[in-house]
Amino acid sequence: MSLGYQKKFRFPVLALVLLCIAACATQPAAALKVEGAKIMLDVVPDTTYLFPMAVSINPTDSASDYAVDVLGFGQSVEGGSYTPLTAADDTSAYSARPFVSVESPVIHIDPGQRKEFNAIIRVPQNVGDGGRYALIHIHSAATGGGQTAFATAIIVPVLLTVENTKLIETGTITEMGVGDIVAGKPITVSSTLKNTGNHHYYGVVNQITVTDPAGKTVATAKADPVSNAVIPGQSVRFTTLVSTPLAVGTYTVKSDMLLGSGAVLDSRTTSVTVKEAYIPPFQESGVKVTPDSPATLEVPEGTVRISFPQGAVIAETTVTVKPYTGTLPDLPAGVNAGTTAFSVDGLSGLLAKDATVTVRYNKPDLDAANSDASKLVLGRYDRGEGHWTLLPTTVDNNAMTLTASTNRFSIWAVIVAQGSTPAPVRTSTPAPVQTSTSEAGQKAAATQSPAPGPLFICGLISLILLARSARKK
Amino acid sequence: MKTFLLAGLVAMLVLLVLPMGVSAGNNTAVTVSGTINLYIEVGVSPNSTQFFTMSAFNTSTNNTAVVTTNTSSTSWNVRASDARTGVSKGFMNKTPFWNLTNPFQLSKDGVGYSPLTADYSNFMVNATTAGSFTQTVYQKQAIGVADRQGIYNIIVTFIGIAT
Repeated sequence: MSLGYQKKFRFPVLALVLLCIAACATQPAAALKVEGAKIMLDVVPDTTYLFPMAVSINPTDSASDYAVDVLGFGQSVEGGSYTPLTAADDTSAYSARPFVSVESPVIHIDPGQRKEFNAIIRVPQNVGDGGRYALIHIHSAATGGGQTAFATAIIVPVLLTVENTKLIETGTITEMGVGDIVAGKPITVSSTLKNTGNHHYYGVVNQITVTDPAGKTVATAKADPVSNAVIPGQSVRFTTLVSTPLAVGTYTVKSDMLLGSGAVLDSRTTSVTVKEAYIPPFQESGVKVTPDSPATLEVPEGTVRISFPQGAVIAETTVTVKPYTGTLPDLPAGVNAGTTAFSVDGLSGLLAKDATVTVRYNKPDLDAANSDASKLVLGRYDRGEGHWTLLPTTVDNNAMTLTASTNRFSIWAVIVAQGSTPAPVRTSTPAPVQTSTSEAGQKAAATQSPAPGPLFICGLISLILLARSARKK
Repeated sequence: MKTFLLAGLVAMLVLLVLPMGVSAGNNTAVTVSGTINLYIEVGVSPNSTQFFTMSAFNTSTNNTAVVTTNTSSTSWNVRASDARTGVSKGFMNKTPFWNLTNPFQLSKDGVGYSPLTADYSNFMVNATTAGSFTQTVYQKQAIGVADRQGIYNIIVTFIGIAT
């Protein structure tokens, strides 16, 4: 290879390398691992504890400095998430922050490296009774350079229990409320519990009991225990959903906050008036759909019925339908939603043959249309395109049903269209149907990026350079 | 000889007094022994994304990333947060202080979005199971008519906690 040849290609090769580096650098991951991720100790006054910890990053991550900050232990009311508090905000009598430290407040980590260090807990002689709490926040300042840069961080909770002292585990319900009662939606009962003791507790359950004026229990509900501890002085709101039919009347709603042992921390009652018979959301249901036979998915309450003709799918799959209780995506201008909404999962792509969807609308749906059922249509939210499609809908006033045909599924809602029945909205040529047996499969399909990868870009540039050099020869 | 005896006496006194002084100043040190087997790892890939060119009245929703949590804790959660406080929290902004009109939003399903003006608690949560878990993060940014031309940024931190 001559010197001239080398010089001639020096710049393009350098450019190619730089482009490759740039292309690769736009898609890195960021991962942070902390060992010793929770410090939960019984401690003795006037003793120092060294708690071993380690921080590591992946070989593909960039070298970075990680800050290790010892902060106060706060909790968000909603869900009880552990929230770091600065020294100025950490006014709790149960704070361990003043006597917790780390060997080095900044740790430099190279790619693939793991560094060990100690958390140092110097328990004072006059520490007092009960528990003491702090959070260790481990985070990096380094992030990606795009419009949306992502970073990762770990918070290590420090929960210390002072040995041989009196532990007080008490709580008070400071607030209780019942949300709007809407047909097809669960009734939300929220109760806020404040830890009035000197020690944290786990596994609190909010048990709800609804009784009629005669004192008869008509509904009960119990939410799963929250995964977070409730720290002394902190308040956490517990939300429990009630989904039992209720007749018109006034009811007493009681909230019991129970510890894992069954001990009652506190109880509180409130009353609620049901003005129209409450219809709870339907039960989640599923059906196996095969290519060689028709199938029908119908919920026990009869609210939703989906008929798949033979040949609708090319591979066996399980299709499920469940109430959609979240906030609906933004609706098109000029339309509004009723109360019936549901999601259908288990299918990705398009059906080979249309399915028929029949939905029984309820009184609140009709009320939303000013009692004019002809204004009701079925709306389908297409996640891929991010918009609603209002489907041509047949209304049966006697059976109170809406029926439409569809070749895809996602989130559905009863919609009040101000004009006449919408024109058909069809996808052009149906693509071959894809089926997935799980939501994870659907998500995996949804995350496939059409953008060219770094290797593709490098290859393309190499081809262009080779073609140019060949043409010059 | 007297000098040697005096020096020896002083040395003995020092040896006797010094440990008492040290023990009076220090409390008992205990190293918590054993393997540090409780771990949590949070990763996000890619570590940055780019919206297409944004224009007024348009909403960009074209990019996603995947958050991975790997932990030996059976009780854990990951929340998404914009670490800033005050009026900029949850907004894409450009130097020095221009915020977009609408807040930046995140979603777990591409349907129900939450503005990042408040932390997205329990972006991932599990109260019973250790292991490896993934969650796609969908992003949305609506552009208002009053928004100025420019390049806007936001840093979203995914914070893992073994609860």
